[in-house]
Amino acid sequence: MANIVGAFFLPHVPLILSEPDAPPREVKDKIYDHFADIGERLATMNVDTVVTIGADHYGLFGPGCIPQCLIGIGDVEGPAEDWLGIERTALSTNQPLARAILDQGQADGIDWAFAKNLRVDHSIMVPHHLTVLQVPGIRTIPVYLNQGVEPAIPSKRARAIGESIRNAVLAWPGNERVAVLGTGGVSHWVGYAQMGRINEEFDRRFLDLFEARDIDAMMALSDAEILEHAGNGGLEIKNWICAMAAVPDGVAEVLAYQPVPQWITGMAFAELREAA
Amino acid sequence: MSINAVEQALWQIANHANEAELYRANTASYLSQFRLEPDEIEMIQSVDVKGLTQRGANVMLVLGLARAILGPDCIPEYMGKMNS
Repeated sequence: MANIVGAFFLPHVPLILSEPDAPPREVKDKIYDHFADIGERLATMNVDTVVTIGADHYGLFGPGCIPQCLIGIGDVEGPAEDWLGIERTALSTNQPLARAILDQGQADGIDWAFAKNLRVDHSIMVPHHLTVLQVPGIRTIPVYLNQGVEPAIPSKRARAIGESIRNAVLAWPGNERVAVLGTGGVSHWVGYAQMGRINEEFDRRFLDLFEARDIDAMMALSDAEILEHAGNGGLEIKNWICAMAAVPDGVAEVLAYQPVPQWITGMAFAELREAA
Repeated sequence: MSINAVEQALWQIANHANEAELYRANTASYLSQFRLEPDEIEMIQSVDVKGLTQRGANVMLVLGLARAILGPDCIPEYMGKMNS
């Protein structure tokens, strides 16, 4: 029987790859080491499939159709951006399980949009390149939650999606060992006049909530509050909420936090390990 | 005409290299396919990122326009315009 063995939380800001030498060398090395560390943890836990929760930045999906939640159930390649600094490549996928998550979602009242041919952006590819690729044979199921275009997906919906992903994996007859990756955050202002600002106080308060597994308090943050105190990029904490909901009884640990102004983001790494 | 038309134009230019190339080849002709007001056309052509944002265009699209037209090293100029 398949199982969700844990969730990890990690940044996806594209500058990590497109402007790798922007921060001081020791800062860059430390951040890259944190990505690698999560890769090692995935390997140690024998994870063979990751469900990566990303956020479109009004790039993949245009004004003609903006899905609130989308799952890739077919072929996947990335990155979409030709400036990210890595070659476009096909990702190894777990299409049967992806389809099962879609089907379970429909039973759970999740109105998934789905893609049979998906070119993913940096929100999937940064964690893929720096973390997931370290585990040979690991397969990816990409999920997008809308935070880039108002109105963002409600946090309540993000939680329900995480719960539905868990339902699907636990009902799946295969032997997969699945980890959910909640990508993005914490505070950053993308494109705004204050781009480069990082609200360390908000970030640390949010990480305290994470370690307390206080998902209700996270969900109580309104979008307006998040926008004011953590920027439009801060809305990516909905990806954290989704991933946390997939591991409801996990043991939470913040692995690292580092504000990196050169990469315009308060960068947090965390783990939620399924209780033994 | 509407901010939706502005966003459609920005999205196409910002996210598709071939569209950006067509735009650069003849900006007026390219923008004529969208229902844009003269001041909206002017804001796009002049990469008036602050004006576009104040008009209500999504900042990620505005940033994408700047990157597509001004180049990948546009951030200092972009920030200068946004904070002018």
